[in-house]
Amino acid sequence: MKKFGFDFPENPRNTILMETEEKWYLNLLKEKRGIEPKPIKRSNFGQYNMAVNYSTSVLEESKAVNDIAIYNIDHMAQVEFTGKDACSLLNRVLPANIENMKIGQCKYSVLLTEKGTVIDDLIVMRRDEEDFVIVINAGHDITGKGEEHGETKEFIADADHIAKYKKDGEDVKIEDISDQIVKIDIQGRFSFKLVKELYGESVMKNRNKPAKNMGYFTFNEFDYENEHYIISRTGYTSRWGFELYVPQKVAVEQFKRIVEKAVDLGGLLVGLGGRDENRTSAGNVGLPLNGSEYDQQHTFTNAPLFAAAVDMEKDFVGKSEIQKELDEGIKKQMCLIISEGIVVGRGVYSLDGKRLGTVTSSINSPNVSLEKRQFIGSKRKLVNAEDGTAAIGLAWFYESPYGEVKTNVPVHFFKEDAEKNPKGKPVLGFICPDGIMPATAPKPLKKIANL
Amino acid sequence: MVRDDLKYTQTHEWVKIDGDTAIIGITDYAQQEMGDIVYVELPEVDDEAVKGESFGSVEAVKAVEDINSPISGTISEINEALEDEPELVNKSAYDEGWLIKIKDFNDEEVNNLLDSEAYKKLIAES
Repeated sequence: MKKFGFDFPENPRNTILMETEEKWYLNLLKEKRGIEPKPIKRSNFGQYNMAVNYSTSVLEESKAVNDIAIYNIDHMAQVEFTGKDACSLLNRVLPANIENMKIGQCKYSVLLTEKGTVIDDLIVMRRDEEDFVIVINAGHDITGKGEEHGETKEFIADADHIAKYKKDGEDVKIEDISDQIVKIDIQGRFSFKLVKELYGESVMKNRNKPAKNMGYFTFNEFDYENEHYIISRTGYTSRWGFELYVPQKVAVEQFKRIVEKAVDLGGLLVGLGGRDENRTSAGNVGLPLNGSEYDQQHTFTNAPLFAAAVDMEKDFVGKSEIQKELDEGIKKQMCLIISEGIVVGRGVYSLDGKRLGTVTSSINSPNVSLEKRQFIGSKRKLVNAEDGTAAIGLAWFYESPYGEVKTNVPVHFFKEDAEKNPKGKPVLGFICPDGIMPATAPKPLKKIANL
Repeated sequence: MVRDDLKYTQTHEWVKIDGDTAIIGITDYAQQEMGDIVYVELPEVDDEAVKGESFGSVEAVKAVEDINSPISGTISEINEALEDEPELVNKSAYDEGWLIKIKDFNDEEVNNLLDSEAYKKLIAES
């Protein structure tokens, strides 16, 4: 069978924009903000050398999204499915209903194993009746043996997972088009202004009702200086914003225009650290990250986006296990947590010592209100300072920790021994039902059109 | 930056011997790797420090790391300035950003720690 994934790279890959980040962006920060260049801290993410933060701190970058944040997302991959049977193949494999998608629509879904556990989460875009693009996480474009976190593993690219279900004689062409495209995300309340000034307001109009702005989870295609772009009204922050797919040929020059404009508007280029904070502080539940909240050992029933990603009325790979869980009644629940310090991997305990669940993500954030930070009851000075920080995160619970009325639930976070007994002193915090930041992403663009 | 007059561990702590007191902190390399430090959790004075076991933790924006004691002994002083200014560890890992002082330690444990050359080699390889 034909292999669609790339071989495991010998060394972590560099994005097309890496050199521009290193040379041009650090100079820009110096010129416009007076920030002395420091070496960019990088980390291997999906076999790419990604910036954790630039010369600005993770906390500064986390805050940028309140105005405008730009992210280099060249590490994520795009796979195009074309042909008469492209729709039915994707609809057979993915839990979301692909058949009822309109042209110009984006849909969030997941790729599951036969056991219903999560391989990847992704966005599907329908470009035409017989033309779909899936946008997948970094490293999910690799098929073959490779070493990650010190162990040798067999990787299978999402495209190869899906291709397994292609029937003989079906007309579907599968192509990884990531090399032709560089994805740049533009998020925050000045995103409309930036796109308008650089590409014109028309690119953000509703393709079916041109008098209106484009809706949430839709995309447009447009030409700019003879190159073809896709812009979607989506993003990993639940704030107003766009994801722009720039042709590789002009990616460096367009990246420079976008970042320079963003810095002029008070924003920053944001690395993986800030991006992690931005997705955890997104809306009232936070956004799960594949590899942290989702993995191949667990199903994702009762995760915040489950209902959006799954249509139980149709068939899909992994459905029988999901159906079985639904029939038996699901108790597990993912919730947002706030704590005085980082608690990743710790057990969550009620104040009377009952184990409630496990923390899957936790990062310090400058975006938690003073009122919420004070609710922790921490002695830590930074937590209670006017412009202080607290850690925010996501945790899986055995069952919903909330009663009839959803209120803050104070908890302790303990380290645990091999038998899952709590040890040491607890970190204080609470389970937070109303989130850190309101989700502005689905709200009308007209609210930010005149900023 | 690695100082010649200090001893080091594989886990990036440093030890400075000052008479009958051992001063302990994390290395400049460690603070750089962690990024902006937002909180330092320290033990109480008179607690026992046990070689290789955690006596506290240093928390950055993205991660929290346990700090292991390079040697065994009794904790005689903690750096209380870090409560208000945890960033001293970033600014001055070897001076103002020290973490704890230990008394009643065993000289041989100190002698067995890495010297600056060995530590330089360790970070060059990591």
